[in-house]
Amino acid sequence: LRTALGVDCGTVVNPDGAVGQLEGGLSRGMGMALYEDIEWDQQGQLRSKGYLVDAKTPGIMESPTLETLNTYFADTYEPTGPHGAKGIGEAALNPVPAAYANAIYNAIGIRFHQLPITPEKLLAALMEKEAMVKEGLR
Amino acid sequence: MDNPMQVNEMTNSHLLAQDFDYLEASSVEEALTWLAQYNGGARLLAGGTDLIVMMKMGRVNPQAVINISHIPGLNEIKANPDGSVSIGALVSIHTLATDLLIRGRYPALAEACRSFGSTQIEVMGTIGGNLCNGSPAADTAPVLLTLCAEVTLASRQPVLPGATQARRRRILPLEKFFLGPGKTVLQPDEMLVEITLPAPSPGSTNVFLKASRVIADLAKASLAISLSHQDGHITECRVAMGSVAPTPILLPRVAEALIGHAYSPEKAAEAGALAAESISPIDDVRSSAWYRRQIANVMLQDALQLAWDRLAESISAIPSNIPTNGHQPLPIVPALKSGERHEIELKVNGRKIRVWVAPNELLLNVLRGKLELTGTKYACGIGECSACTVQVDGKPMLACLILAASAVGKDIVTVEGLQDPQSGELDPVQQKFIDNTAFQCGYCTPGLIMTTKGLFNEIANPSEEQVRHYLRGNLCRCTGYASIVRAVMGSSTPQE
Repeated sequence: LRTALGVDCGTVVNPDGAVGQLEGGLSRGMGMALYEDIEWDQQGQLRSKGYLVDAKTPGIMESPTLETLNTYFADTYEPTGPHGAKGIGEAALNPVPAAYANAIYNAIGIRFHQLPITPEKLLAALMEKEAMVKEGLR
Repeated sequence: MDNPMQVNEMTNSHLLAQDFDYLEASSVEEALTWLAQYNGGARLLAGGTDLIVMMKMGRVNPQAVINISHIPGLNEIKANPDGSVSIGALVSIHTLATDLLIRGRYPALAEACRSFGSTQIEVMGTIGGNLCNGSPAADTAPVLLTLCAEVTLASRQPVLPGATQARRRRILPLEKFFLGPGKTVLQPDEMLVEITLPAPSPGSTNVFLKASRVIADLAKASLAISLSHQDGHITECRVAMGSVAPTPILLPRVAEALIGHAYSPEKAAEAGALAAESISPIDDVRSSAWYRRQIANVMLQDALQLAWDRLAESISAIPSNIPTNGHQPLPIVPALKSGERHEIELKVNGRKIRVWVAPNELLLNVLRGKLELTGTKYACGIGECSACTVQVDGKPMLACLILAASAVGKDIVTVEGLQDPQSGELDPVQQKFIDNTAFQCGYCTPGLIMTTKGLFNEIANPSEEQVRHYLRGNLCRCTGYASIVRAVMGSSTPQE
C-alpha cells in the first residue's frame, strides 16, 4: 500500500511545516475514516466520559512507513494570499476519508456512506454481499 | 420538567481525588500484615497502570494503597533445575518481552508482552498486576493458560502454637485463578508472589495473536496456542482466548479436536468453527460479540498454521545465560496517613528537591505544579497517550500514573533536564526534532523526546520498525508520525 499526498497551497512558505500538515492531515483523516466513533445519546449528550479508551486514534504503527509515503505541492501563486500562499490545514484533512472510502470501494466494490468504516462493518458488508451473490446465482 | 436533560459530566481529571493511606512494604510479610490489618480495604500497588487508572475512574476506592514494588526478590526470573521457570510477580512486562530465556522457551509470552498498549505500560506494568487485575483482556493470561502456568499465592499464617512458617502458600493452576471481570480467587489478605511455568515439552512451540482497533490498544480478542508434535501428529495442544468471555478462558474442546491429528487447513477450519462456538463474547466499545466470534474462528486457524510452521523450524536453542535483574534497594518511605501532607525528597533532573505531598498526589502534578516543570504534559490522564512520559531510572514511564511518594529514591528526568545546564546546548534528540520539524503544536513532543531517550538507552541504532514499536503509545494529533520517525532516525526531511 502506498500513500501519496498532494496539495495546492499556493506558495509553500515553510516546506517542512507544510509536509507536516499533509502527513498530519493523513493521520487525522485516517482516524475519521477508520477508527473514531463518537457516540451521542438521544439528548445529544456525548456517551463518552472523556476517557481516551472509548475511541482510538491512529498511532505511529498505523502511519505509513517512510518508504511508502510521498508528498507533493502544486507550483501555483494565490494572488489574494500573503506572498501567494493559501490555507492548507483543512485541505490536508478533508480528502483523506474520501480516499479511504474510495480505496475500499476499489478493493471490494462496496460503498460505505458512514464513517468510521470499521472491520466490523466491512466484514458484515462483505458477508451480506456474498449472500446476495449466492442468492442471485440460485 | 419531569425528565430533566441528563448532562454528561466528564469525570476525567488530572487529579486523583480519593484519599487513602500510603504504605511501602519492604517484605512480603509486611505487605501481608497490612493487608490483614485493613481487612479488604487495601489494594496492592505494583506498576500502577491498572490500579491508578481504576482509582481515577472511581471504580475502586481503597482505604490504603500498599506499594509492593520495593520488595526484594519478587522481580526475578529463575530457571529451576527441573526445567521449569519461576517468574516473580513484580517482573515487568518489558523484561518478559525482552528476556532471552522467555523468548527462547516461551516465545508466545514475549509476543503477548510486546503487544501491550505502549512501551511505558510495558516498563511500568508487572506480570502479577496483569493477572491480579482480573481483566478478561489481560494479554499475558491466554499464553500463561496454554503454558499450564501455576500461581503461588501467599497469605499470613494464623498464629498457631509451635508454627515456624509465618507465611502460608497455596499453589493453583492459573485456570482456577480467574472468577469474572475484575474478580479473582485472591482473598483480601492474600497476594500473588510467583508464576511458575513447567518446562516446555520437547518438540513444542507456542503462538500468541491479538486483534485490536489500533495496534496500541487492548484486545478485541486475543488467542494463544501451545502445541507439541510427534511424527507429524499433534500430541499435546492447549488453546486459550482473551476478551471473549468474562475471564480469559481455555478452549479444551478445540484442543481435543486437534490432538492426534496432523495439521491440515480443513482440520484448522473445523477447529476454528469450534473456537467460535466455545466463547461467550459481548458487545462493548472495542468490538461486537458477532465480530469476535468471526475473528475467533480466523485467529485460531492463523495461530494453528503459524504454530505448525514454527514446529517445522528447529526450536531455537535455549540460551544458558540467565539474565539477572539487579534490584536496587530503595529507601522505604514511612507510612503516609490519608489526607496528611508529608515532606519527601525527590531527585529531579539531577537535583534533590524536598516537597510536601499528600498520599494521593501524582508525580505529574508535583512536577508541573510544585516544581514548575511544565514541559511534561497532562493529556488523557489514564495512560493512553504518553504525553506525560518522563524518565525514571533511565526508563520511560507515565508521570500521570505514578504516585509522587512512590518516586522517592528514583532518578527522575524531565524534558527540562536534557539540555546542557552550562552551555544551554540541546540534547541531540531535541535538536533532531527541531531539524525535522517533528512537531506543530508541540504538546506531544516532550513525551516523544523522553520516550526516544529510553529507546536509545536500549538500542543505539534502531531500525524504523523498532522506532515505531517503541513509540507506539505516543499519540500525536497534528503533524502525523512521519516527521517524528525521521527525527528519531536522524534522517533529513525529504523534499520534493
